[in-house]
Amino acid sequence: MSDPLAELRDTFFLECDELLEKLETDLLALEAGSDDEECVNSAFRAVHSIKGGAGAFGMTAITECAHVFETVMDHVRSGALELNPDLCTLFLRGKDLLSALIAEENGGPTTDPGEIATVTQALEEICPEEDEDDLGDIFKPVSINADLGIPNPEDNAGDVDPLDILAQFEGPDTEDKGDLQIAFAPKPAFFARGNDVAPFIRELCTLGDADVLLDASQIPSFDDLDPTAPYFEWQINLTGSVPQADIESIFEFVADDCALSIGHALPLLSNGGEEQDTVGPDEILPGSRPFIDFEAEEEAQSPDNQLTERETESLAIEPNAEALSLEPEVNQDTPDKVIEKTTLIDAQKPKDVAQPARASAPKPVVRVELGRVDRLINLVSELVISQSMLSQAVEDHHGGTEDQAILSGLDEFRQLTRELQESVMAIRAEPVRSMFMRMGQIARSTANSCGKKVRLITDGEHTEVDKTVIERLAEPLTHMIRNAVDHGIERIEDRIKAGKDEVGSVHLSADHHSGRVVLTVQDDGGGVDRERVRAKAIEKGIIAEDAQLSDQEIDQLLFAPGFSTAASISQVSGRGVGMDVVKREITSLGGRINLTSKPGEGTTFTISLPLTLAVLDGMVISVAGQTVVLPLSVIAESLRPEPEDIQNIGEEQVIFVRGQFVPILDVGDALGYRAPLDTFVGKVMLLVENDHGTNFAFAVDEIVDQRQVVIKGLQENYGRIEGVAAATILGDGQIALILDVNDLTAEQSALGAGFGVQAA
Amino acid sequence: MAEAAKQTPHQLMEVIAFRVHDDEYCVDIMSVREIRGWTPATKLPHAPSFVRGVINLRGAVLPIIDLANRLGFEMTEPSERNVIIVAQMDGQLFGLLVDAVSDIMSVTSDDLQPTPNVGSEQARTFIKNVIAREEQMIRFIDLKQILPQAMASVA
Amino acid sequence: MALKILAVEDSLTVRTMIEHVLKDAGFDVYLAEDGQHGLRRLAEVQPDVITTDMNMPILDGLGFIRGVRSDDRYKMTPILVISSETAPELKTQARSLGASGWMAKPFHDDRLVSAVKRLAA
Repeated sequence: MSDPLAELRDTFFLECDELLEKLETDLLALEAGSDDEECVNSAFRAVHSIKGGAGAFGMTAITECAHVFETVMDHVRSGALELNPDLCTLFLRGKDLLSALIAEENGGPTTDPGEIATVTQALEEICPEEDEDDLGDIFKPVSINADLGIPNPEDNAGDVDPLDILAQFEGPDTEDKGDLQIAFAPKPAFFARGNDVAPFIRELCTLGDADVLLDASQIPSFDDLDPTAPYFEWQINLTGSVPQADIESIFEFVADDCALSIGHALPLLSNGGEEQDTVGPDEILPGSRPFIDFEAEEEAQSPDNQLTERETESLAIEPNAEALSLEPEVNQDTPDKVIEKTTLIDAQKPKDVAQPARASAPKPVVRVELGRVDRLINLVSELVISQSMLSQAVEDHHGGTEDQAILSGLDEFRQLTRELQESVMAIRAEPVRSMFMRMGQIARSTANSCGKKVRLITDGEHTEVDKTVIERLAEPLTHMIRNAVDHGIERIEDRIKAGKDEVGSVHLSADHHSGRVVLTVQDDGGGVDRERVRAKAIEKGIIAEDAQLSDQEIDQLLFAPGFSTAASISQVSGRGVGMDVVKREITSLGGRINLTSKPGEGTTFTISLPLTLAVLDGMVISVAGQTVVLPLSVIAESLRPEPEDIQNIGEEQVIFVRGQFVPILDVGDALGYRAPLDTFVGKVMLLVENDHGTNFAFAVDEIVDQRQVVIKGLQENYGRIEGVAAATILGDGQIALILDVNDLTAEQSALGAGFGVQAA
Repeated sequence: MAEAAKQTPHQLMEVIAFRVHDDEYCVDIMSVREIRGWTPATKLPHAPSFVRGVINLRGAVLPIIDLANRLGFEMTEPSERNVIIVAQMDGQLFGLLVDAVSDIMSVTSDDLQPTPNVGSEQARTFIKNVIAREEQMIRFIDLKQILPQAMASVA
Repeated sequence: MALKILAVEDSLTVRTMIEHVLKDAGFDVYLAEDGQHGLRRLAEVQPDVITTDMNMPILDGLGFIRGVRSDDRYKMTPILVISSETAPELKTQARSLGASGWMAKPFHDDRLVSAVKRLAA
């Protein structure tokens, strides 16, 4: 086991992710006009928990930010402050700041000090920090509502809980401040030990001018009277600067046998009565146990009597505090589960606090290290392969049928393997919500730096996708959101001129669609400026000056390598990354990206992705003696052409299919496995559509099989190979390459080559 | 490894010696994960000739390098007698196709001599040091250099 | 027999930390994630000392303390509040509901252990 503190920190960061997500969900709900009180409470608790955890690790920047944040939220919670859209925006900004500070603490980039100052100041201006030490001297009207838990501010000043024997520790400031009020109530033990009240009162009188009051209101009716029970309480007003310690020393030996409180003058009885109210008439106070204020004790012990920053830090766990480093033998008693974050079980943790789900009871959740899931998935993949190897072996040896028991056993095995695989894959699936949340942050910060007003609307955030897909999608999606805000949405004045709402909207949605995940990023901006795109493409040499392009083809130019629509290198989405990179990322995930645009109305990007990166439905084909796999999703049909179907255009050959002339791609040649074929007669043609919507006929030798294959990365041990997306292991244990259709057709379909045949 | 060994001359290092094209070579045993027999590899498109392709190593995709060809000799005609040394370098796993494994030896840093300033440039790139043993020269392979650029850039 | 501590705390980090510190000190530590969960665990754990957070979802610290004290079996069980709340009125309220001690977050390990020991004595 590694450093327990480091693991605890990891736990904290993990928890912060959840809390930030919860916070954002709540804030967005509030921004959308929800008046659900629980939203405010839950948001407050999230900030509060972050503050608590950060405090424990001495992360002062987070603690400070969370503190001012929490203070303002508390005012909203208590109803003292009304929530308005500006405040919501500030809260969201505060949340982003917290998130940045936490990321920084977790090894991320340094947070912009300007943003810290701006946000903190803005929050502080709303609720100036009250000097809590002075609270006691401020008289506030008493209003008690025990059920709602509204605190009673007056209680502080009094400190006259008759049961509180250690209230002297409440604060050093009660010393030497003139009049003291002492409340004194003996318990049965006081008298049982042979004490008398009078000597104590007399002793008190020697310290200063004492005004002694007997409270006999507790005496019951004669019938109910217990002669051994104490019913009297004394209230002594002591004038003159009497050190509290002197009073304490008088009662030192009976401290456990009486209730004593020492504080500044306030009517004891009314206060005590109110406290009774807060407890409720049926409650019995645990009279025998004194209340110990460890916090106040600490303060009292602190040399300068105040919690300075230095002190706060020393209270937090020092990085090498021995207290946290487990003793070896204790360690054995408390196996990994104590601190290993991977096995912490969140039995009832209400993980899902999204609006509609809130009512339903939270499902039990197990937190598992991703590495374990991956090992499990790998093992299941192995199992799938051995299962198919076994089936093949049986088929080879038994020549087909024979033993019915073996055959049905194999069949069941196959079925179970498949179910097992699906279940395991489902473990990796997670809702896109947290990614969408981050996009909200991106949209806000981008809008901020562009001086635009943008609202991000999300939809389908419960759609589940493989975790790896989500992780790898985050960056391209970030870029797309930035693009949408920076380039898609018009400037405020332009929007007003166009008669649009000055607040632009970016709609981000996710949905499952025929076994794939479909994401859309839709803005209500000005749409693609095709004239400018065209001019730019000509200027950059991407297309010929006289190229005849349809609107759709012009739109596709945005994905062309090296293309950037920004008129100026905007600090936001510039940085040399274009939509071509986005497209490459999406493609490498086995996804497709497309865009449609309407002038004046906006642009929609559509991304379609596989549900998982682990398996793929593939067509197993044989070419030049090698076995390769084509993703089934790109294949439209397979055909065996007659000689007359094949035509020559210059040096290239095309095939006439579905009323179109489709270029032929010689797969064996494209992969460098053999010299180009002279004739395609007798070959099998697979009609394939690439991401540009261009059709190709892939010439192969033979179709072997159609099956689900487990995707194995080539990258980690070899690197990227042109034309190859990944590898898989077939039933015979051999590796087969999974072809990358876009890569293979890239050369031929490049815009400007004038070769591609537009799809219908 | 050799650098570190120079400072402490008595420190032992174990190497696996093997034969390629009738010459003896060796690699640090610490980078060797396992040794297995030859199985036909799946060809990789557009790969240099010394990359024989990839094989299935218990579910992992293992690229195979024909060491003879990498060192400038003819391509190996692999048969069942050939051996694949599975090595790991900077977290990258790959197989070296060699003729046969001959020995496991302990060497000290004193045994390691600088590569003589003869032979081809190619040889000096891949052979870090030489070890003299019973009038035989064993060439110490620098695994880092063996990886083709496409592979090396992955790590 | 080691003393049994029921620690009620919604923050995973702090909960783990409390568990950690108290287990190291030789206590048997049982955890609950909110007040309601804490109340549910009472009968099963029969704690010698209870620690609780104030700000929690579902049922907060005040509600939890009220719940504990409303059961005759736990009238005397010491309850230590561990909170980062600074409002004195909340402290007073907790006390009047029957809390036995108050400790500020972030807490120091040794102080937590000694506080629990003191309350258990």
